Amino acid sequence: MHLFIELLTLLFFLATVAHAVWLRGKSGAGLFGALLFLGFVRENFVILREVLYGFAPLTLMLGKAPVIASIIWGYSIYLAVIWAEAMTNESLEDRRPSGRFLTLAALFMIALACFYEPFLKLIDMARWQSGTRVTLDVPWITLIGYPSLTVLFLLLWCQVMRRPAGIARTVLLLAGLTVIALLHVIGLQGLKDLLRW
Amino acid sequence: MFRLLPLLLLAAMIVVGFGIEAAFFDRVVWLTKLPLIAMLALAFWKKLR
Repeated sequence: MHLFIELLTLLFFLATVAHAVWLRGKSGAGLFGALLFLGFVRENFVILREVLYGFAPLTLMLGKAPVIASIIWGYSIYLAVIWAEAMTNESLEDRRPSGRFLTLAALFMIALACFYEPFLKLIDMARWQSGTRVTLDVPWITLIGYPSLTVLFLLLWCQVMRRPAGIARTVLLLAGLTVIALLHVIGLQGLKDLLRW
Repeated sequence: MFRLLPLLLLAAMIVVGFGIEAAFFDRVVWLTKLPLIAMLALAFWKKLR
């Protein structure tokens, strides 16, 4: 069953990439490139540091982390963008998301966490540290983790994409994404320990 | 409506989730999916009205 879920998620991810490229052109491709890089760095760091959670043995891997873990961030954050755009009539292409846009995207990610986490627990795909505090199989820390990474990514993406295109912008984006990915994992584990969640 | 296509995919994913839960685990987890279902419904209602 795990392989079915992996393949289905990969299929949905590729469909959303196609949607983003069709709708937004090069900007959409760049957005997903950045999201994939963010997911890859973050999830491999989680595995290498052995923090937060682990995974059941899965078939499709990207580095040390499962493919599904790396792509799910891009898939989810893009869904949050689509939903926030629909609710606010703003466009991410304007590069100036309002507080309302960011708040709605964050709320959507919390709702996604409430969908994903109980399901991942049920099929034994993701394994949180023992003692992790949960309600209805939703780890409390995910209610901070999902929205915070989304808001950080959107702020960085819009800030960097307002600069002129070129190698400097790409380097700045990749450096920023790496910092966000690593600090998010370290910060989330630190907060989890501090709050005993 | 094309703009909301990824949200339709997510709706399909929720249906698959319900199907797997019912078929393999004899239980369906409704409560934690409700906020997301409500948000999707809101987006489509806003688009279609």
